[in-house]
Amino acid sequence: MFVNLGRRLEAWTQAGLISESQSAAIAAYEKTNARPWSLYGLTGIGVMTVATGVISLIAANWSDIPSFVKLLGYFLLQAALGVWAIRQLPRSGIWREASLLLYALGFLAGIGLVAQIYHLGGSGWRALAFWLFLTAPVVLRAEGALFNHGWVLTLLYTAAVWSIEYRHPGLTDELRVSLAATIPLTLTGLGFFSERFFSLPRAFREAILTWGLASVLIAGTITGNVLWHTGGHRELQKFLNYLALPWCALLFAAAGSWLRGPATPRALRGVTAVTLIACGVYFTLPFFLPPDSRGVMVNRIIGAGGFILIGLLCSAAAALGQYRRLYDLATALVTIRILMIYFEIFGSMTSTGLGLILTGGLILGLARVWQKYRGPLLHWMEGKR
Amino acid sequence: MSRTAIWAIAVPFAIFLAWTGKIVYDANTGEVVSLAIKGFDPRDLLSGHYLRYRVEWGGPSCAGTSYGEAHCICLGQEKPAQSVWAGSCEELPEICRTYIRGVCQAGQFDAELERYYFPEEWRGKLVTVPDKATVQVSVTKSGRATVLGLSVADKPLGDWIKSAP
Repeated sequence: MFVNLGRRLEAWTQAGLISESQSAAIAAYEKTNARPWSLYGLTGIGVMTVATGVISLIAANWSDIPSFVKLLGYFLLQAALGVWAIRQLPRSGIWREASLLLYALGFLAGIGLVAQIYHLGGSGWRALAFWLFLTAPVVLRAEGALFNHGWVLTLLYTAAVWSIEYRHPGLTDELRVSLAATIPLTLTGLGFFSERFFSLPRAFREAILTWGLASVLIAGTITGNVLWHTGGHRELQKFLNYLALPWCALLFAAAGSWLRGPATPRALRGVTAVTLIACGVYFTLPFFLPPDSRGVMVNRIIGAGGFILIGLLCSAAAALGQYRRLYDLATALVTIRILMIYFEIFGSMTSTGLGLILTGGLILGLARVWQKYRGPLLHWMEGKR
Repeated sequence: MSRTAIWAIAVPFAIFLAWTGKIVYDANTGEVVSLAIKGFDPRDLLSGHYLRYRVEWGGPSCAGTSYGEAHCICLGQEKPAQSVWAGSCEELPEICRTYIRGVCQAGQFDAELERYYFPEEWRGKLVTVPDKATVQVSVTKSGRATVLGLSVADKPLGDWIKSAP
């Protein structure tokens, strides 16, 4: 039963949300269907104790166990997890998701075990890339958010580490970064196109869209802002060629957004596509800044303005799509950026008493504006939708 | 339940089994060679109990090569074995009987042999790589090398640990 259900039912009845009879019916239902949590708890403790004992026994004798036995034990366990996952596949619910996740994590443990037994060297990203390859068909069967989001985040992390650590004469540092930047954009495009032209599992599509868009918008705008802030070097222009590949992927993502299924409102499709293109333009323009304009105040102001514009476009897209958390995040980022402009201009004053009063006043003012207009703006956007 | 669903679970298992089988096969069928090693800092403090070291090739290794270029080292018959020739694998001399394939990175030959995992209880005695340490590797005919063991002054590491103060 819920904690304090009786008190909650009383409060809901007094607020007129439920009637007296409904309150009594809910209380009776919860009483008869209450799960034996104490029994579950004791069983859980028992299972955990046995499992801990087995793990301790293995760990204490780990170095004495022959490699062959370790590998055989691992493969038997992994096969059992696989059989469990196959049995759970036709069902849905927490056990199905747990079986798929454990089966996938089992491969990571296996890679670690083989690496330990045969002292495999090499970078960590190789192990993660191999794990991603092995578990790609498994994640496409999963319906839960945890596995899907974790898998996509691991993919983006592995790509980022690969772009830093991998060395090959045919792949320059800039080309590797360019290829890694293409991945979230391509994922975003695939997520959008899959809504209309081909099928991807819903949870996987949501994960690639969430993290693809988050990478593009957060990493793209922050890096873009840094370029606006420090741009105007002579060296920057020679890297322009490396933007070609990410731009192709960006156009793919923007086209995918525009061509999303008819269930998505036209305004949302348009705003998302415009936001993506704006993000690309914002990132690219500093490459064309005149040399020796480094640190020029006009560039900094344009950079800050562009950041705020993209933030507002994101807020609009989030409101149209009714993604309240994204809306709050985007507007919070815009607010923080406005605050940063203040610090950039009047930073030296903040150590004085008057400066502190002004800074505190500005923060309070921004919070007040946000609180006042957040709700009405959301309603207005929902009306537009 | 569809057949593709079963394949989605079974195929990764089969691939992983094959990958592991290849490593076990390479480790058990290659020619065993000893290579001298020396400690390498900085140690990887976040990754459990293993030693990191560099192989002392004792001869040519990576001079004048590009970063990340595929590379081969031909080993002589001494113990510990030493490099007698190094260069592009395509130019490997035909008389070379035992060679290791790897890449050159920042002037260092990397054949992914530079790590040795050891049991947790040895951590007090293995803070750094001991002097006169050698690593035993199994080298296949195609130049793939797998670490088999580590010795100190010709004693297996386990025996050396027992006799170490």
